[in-house]
Amino acid sequence: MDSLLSVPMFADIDLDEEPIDKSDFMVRTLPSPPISDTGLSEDENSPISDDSDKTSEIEVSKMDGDKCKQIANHPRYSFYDLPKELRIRILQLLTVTDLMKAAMVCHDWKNLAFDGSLWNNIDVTPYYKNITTEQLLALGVAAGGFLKIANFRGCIQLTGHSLRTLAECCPNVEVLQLNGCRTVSTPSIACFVSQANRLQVLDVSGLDSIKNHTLQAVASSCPMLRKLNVAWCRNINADGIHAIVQGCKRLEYLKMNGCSQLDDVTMTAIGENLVDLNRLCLASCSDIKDAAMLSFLSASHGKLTHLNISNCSKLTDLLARSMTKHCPRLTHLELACCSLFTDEGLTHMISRLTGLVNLDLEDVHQITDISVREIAAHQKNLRRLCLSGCLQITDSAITNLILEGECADSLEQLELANCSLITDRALTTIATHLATKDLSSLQSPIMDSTSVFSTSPPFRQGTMSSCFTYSSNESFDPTLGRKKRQLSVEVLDCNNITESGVRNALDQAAPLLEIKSFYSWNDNRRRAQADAEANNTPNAVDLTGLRVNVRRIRYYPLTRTRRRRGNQREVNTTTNGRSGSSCIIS
Amino acid sequence: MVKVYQTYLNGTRIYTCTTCHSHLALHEDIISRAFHGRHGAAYLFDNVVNVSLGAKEERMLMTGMHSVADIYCNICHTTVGWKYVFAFEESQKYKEGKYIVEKSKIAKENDWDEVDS
Repeated sequence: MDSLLSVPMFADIDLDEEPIDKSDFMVRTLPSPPISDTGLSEDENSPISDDSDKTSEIEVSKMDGDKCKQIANHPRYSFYDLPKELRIRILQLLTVTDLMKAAMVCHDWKNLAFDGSLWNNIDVTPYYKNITTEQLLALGVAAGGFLKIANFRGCIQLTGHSLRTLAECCPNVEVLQLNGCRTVSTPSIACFVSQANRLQVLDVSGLDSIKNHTLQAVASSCPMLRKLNVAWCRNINADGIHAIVQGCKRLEYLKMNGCSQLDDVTMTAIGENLVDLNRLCLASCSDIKDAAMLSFLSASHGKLTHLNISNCSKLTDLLARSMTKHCPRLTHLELACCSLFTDEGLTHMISRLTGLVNLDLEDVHQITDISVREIAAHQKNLRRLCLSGCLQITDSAITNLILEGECADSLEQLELANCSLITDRALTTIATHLATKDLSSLQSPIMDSTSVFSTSPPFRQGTMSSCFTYSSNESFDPTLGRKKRQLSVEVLDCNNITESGVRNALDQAAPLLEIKSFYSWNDNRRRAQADAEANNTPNAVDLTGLRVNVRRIRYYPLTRTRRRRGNQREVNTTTNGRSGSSCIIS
Repeated sequence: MVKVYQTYLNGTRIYTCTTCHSHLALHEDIISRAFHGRHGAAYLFDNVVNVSLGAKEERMLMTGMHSVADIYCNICHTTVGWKYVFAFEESQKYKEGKYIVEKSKIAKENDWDEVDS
């Protein structure tokens, strides 16, 4: 163990990118060298007499000479006179970077910094690319029995040998994340899990080295497992899952995207054994059939809140009744690409499962306005609704949803990409409604949330802008006492949405309304570039800036260049016979 | 075989490679979904991570002549689409620097842990 700790520690690791200010370093983190006789040294920490209950990070105040001498002469103020537990408690307040720096000072400090109790949470995600295998192993070994949370996401440098060593030293691990550790072999993982009897959270998604017998090892050794993620593990199938559910009966969260051969027996076993199951993800388990899902639902214990069966294209409406009966608490339902679902099944579910918060119906192209009207009539808490690719949805259903729907207040995201029957009229109606609702809330403290303004006369530009100088500056609504709800609508690839429609709607209702379309994307891109040029920053694609800018859409008057481009688009329209916005054929 | 570190994206909706589950792009980076790739529907993305570019070549696509480079997933080396390097026609200029990723090669991931229920 000592030989491991003698590995040159972090001498070349660059944990933070900011250059260290050398002068600060000298003042702040230079500790007192171990003085044998009189204790004449400056202390690293503030004196114990004041701030004994200070919980913020230790800051070295620049003490003047007299005070220093006073404190230094007093034997009580030596750092080394503190009991070890208190010294460790002090170091606990440091960040990982500072702790690494402290460890470089001397052997005493290194032993202190690598005391196991400081390392019950090893999260290498900020620096997984820089840390070496030996350093990773040394950290784990130093943590020893204290290690509870081990997040090694993306560490391809983690070897099987390291994992086996950690298995011996760290039996108390509760959270283990190995997604992306592609070089770890199957027996090593099996070795680790067989020793980690207290494991509660295990994430091994994407690893090809997970096989059915590994899952059997997990089942036999980790009875307290609560969350398991084996998404996209290509070498497991229903047998492994069967073993897991027999052994880990306390599972609450199970993700097994891409798992094949899920049959009736396995699904029944999942339903029966996992009493507390509340999140289940079966996305892309494309060979699962109705019968298997029905047997799962009838065996389940009714606590399911999140169900994801996206891309399970063989599932049909037959599940609707069963889902309504057995999943009364469902809040997140994802049915993307389950194209065999029709209005009949969906209306049955929507009218009875009224607690839905997140509903994803992307590419369920058989559904029509009927389902959307049902959603409007019954769903009070819906926040996100995705109807992209549902080609039969029309303006009237959407306006009904926004104006009169029960969820009109809670809806935050509405996606209508590729819905070719949606036109500018829907956008304008939404914008007008939001604008008038905001206006009425400014005038009176009591807001009538169900007022219908579908045929209100268009407001004059002047009135709108004066009102919005107030509201657009703040997203906090003092009358409501909470952040103003923002509705974000996505209308990519809608043939009948034109640039002027989008701009008019944004004019009226921004920042309450956010429209993501081809035009607004271009606007933000140009504005991001203009901002970059103004700030003299390099014009490389700055992803964070672009994302932030998408949220703040402002209307810019048409400049000459845009008009020129607009003309070009019109030219395209005449030649191609469709609106230039949607670029269908590449 | 040189092993490359994977980049991880943070976001509520991430598109991942179906073969190896590595993160490819965020939902916010979609520009359009109505494109056609070699094998069916494809998405146009602003920025894609964990991919490497192949050789540049000139291809005659349905909208005209373009200079494109195929993109490969770093981890599993499957071709997931291509990047528009240069467009010969003015009307197609907006595509330059963007990536086409085939819909059959990506999967959508919703992150439950980040999204509040």
